[in-house]
Amino acid sequence: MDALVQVAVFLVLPYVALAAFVGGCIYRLVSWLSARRVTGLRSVAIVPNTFGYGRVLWDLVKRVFAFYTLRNMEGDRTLVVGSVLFHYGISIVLLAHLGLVVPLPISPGLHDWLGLYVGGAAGLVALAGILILIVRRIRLPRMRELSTLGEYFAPGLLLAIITFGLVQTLVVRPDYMDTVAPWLTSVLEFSPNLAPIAGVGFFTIAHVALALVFIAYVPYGQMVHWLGYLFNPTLTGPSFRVGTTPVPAFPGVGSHSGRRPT
Amino acid sequence: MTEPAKLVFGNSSSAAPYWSKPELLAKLDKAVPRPPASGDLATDVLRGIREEVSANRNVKIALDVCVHCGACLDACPTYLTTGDIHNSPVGRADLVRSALRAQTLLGKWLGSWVRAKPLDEAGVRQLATYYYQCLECRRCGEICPFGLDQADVTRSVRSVLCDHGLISKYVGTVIETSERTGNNLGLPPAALRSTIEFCRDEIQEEKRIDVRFKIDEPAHAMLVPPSADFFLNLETLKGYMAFFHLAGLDYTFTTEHAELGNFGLFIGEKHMKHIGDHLIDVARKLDVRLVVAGECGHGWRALKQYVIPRLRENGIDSVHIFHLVIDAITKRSIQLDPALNGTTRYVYQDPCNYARAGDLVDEPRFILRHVTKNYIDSPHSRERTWCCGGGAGMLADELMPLRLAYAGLWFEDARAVGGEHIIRPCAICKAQLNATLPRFNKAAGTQLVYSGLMDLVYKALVAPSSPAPPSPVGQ
Repeated sequence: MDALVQVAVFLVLPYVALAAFVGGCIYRLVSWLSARRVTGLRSVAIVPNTFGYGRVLWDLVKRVFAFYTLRNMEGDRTLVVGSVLFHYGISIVLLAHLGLVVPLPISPGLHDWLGLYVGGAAGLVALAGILILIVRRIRLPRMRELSTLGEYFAPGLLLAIITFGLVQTLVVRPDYMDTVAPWLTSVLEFSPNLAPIAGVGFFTIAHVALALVFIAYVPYGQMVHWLGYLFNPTLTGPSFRVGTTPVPAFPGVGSHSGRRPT
Repeated sequence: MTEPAKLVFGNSSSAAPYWSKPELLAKLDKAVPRPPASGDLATDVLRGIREEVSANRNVKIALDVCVHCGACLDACPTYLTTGDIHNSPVGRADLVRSALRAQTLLGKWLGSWVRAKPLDEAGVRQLATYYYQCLECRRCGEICPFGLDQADVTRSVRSVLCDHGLISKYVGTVIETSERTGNNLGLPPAALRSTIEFCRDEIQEEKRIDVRFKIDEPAHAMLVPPSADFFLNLETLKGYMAFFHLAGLDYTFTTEHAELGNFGLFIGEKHMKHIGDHLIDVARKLDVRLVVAGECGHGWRALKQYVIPRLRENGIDSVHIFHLVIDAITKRSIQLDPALNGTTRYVYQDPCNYARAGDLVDEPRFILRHVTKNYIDSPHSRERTWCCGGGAGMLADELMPLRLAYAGLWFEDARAVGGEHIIRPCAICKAQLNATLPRFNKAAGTQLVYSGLMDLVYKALVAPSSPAPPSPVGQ
């Protein structure tokens, strides 16, 4: 590997990405938290009867794990299918990446097996999800109409990162625990050591480089959504009760629900 | 009046409201003075938008976090019925985003690749047109995975447009009338009194009840209906009066603020606060302990989310009349006979500001169960309800093509479940149905009717054979 590439990708880019990520997230948080009003209203809760933080938390859990509001999309199921596949897949993949830097009390053989089969399967699920989302954006006229470069950049980048990652995991199968893992640990310990990655191949370099670009980009575009909704007053600001008598439970109230127009 | 332009699916740019003239703006300035103008409309509007965005967290996050997934396109009544991407939650917000992005380095560099377009006067007109096509119904916020509510972005953008002289003539007129007279219709005290007395006589004739009421006198409670209930929805008004009487609650009407509606809500917060503060002043003046809201969706939102917290600071509580009716039903202090509402197939359609902004979802259903024998929910019910198509100032005559397009959604819903009588306990819904339902009935050969909920309570109320002792309902 060219020494220049090595220094750029494995020494400079990690710290640039880390600084951009942390700095960008702090910038976002400050800009959101310094906006103190909510258009003159006490509560702008969007879900009815969110009285108290228990309900707020439950709603957030349902959003994160079930994407439950998308159940209401009547004509187009591809968004919910693509989103669920991608987010579950990529979450498992990200957790699996922790295995590179956190020592696990399992044998190297099991570690390798988990990386190959669990990590590989999760990567394939994430790949299917991102492909569904990208194809949906390209094929549906209304999605094309509202999409510009900004809407294709992040999914395109993710597609490339996942593809290179899968090629490594399933095809090339480099010895990442003796190369990437010690390098990543050294970077995170702020004593970077480039020796272990001296011989890594193209797919590893491409995967790492694009992932670092993505990390740097996250706070500055739409990919900040994972952080933003946690501060959205429509979800996190509970409403308040009015009236002294709660509505009594009445079995059968509303004899019809959920039916759609023919 | 010129004939409203016909809508073409895919392009609703022709559907703009009439704008307020300088004389009307000058009158509005008396209540809420506008900030000084620099002479360049686009610069002023852009500056105003930046200030609104940086001050309001719900607006800031709605603009920052959207991933353009398109879920809101599937939910938004304005996009579904017009097919114009600018007349959609994400499309409307993109008009704002592109103006803000044009000021960034990236926007200047990449231009239309990242949807960056400097705001000019034509752009301001485009903003105004499309932001006055939004119903502020919050259906986008309901379906959005991140809860991004573009309706409150609409309120913010309209606030800035109003600051710089762009406010629809209809909304401006209603706000000015409300601020000048205490109600949206400009009904003078004598007319209000006369209507109340007319309803008293009707109740006597129909129910054999001599209802007690006060007007502009100190009482335990102050009833604040929307002014349309003194004009168009007299059955609803009779429902309030008969209920209060039979529940034994000491209450007064006010002619100084005979209006639950608060059109200020539709254009940000300044006029909303001005109108809301007047209501608080009147409640204090009449020394009431409870303010009771009548049937009005957006009025309830403004009351609950702005007025009630301030009333409570003054030792005054406030509820919706549905809360009192439920209280009376559970304490058995009123008698209801659902058979009196016949076997009609009633279909309940939630007003958006009850279901998505006011926490009134189970309450009306509980009452419906006690006053009808045959009620069903609309296919899109609760937080998925369709706006009537008249919300946020859309009731202007010149916007009728849009109103009719939007209204097709709830009409189809009502037909899908074989509804005969639509229940929408909201003054704007009723006004919209009053104007649009006859047209749909004629076109479809149907005979659907509509009403509020207190109308049905009125019909179902049974006067006790002997006078009931005053009960402590709501006290």
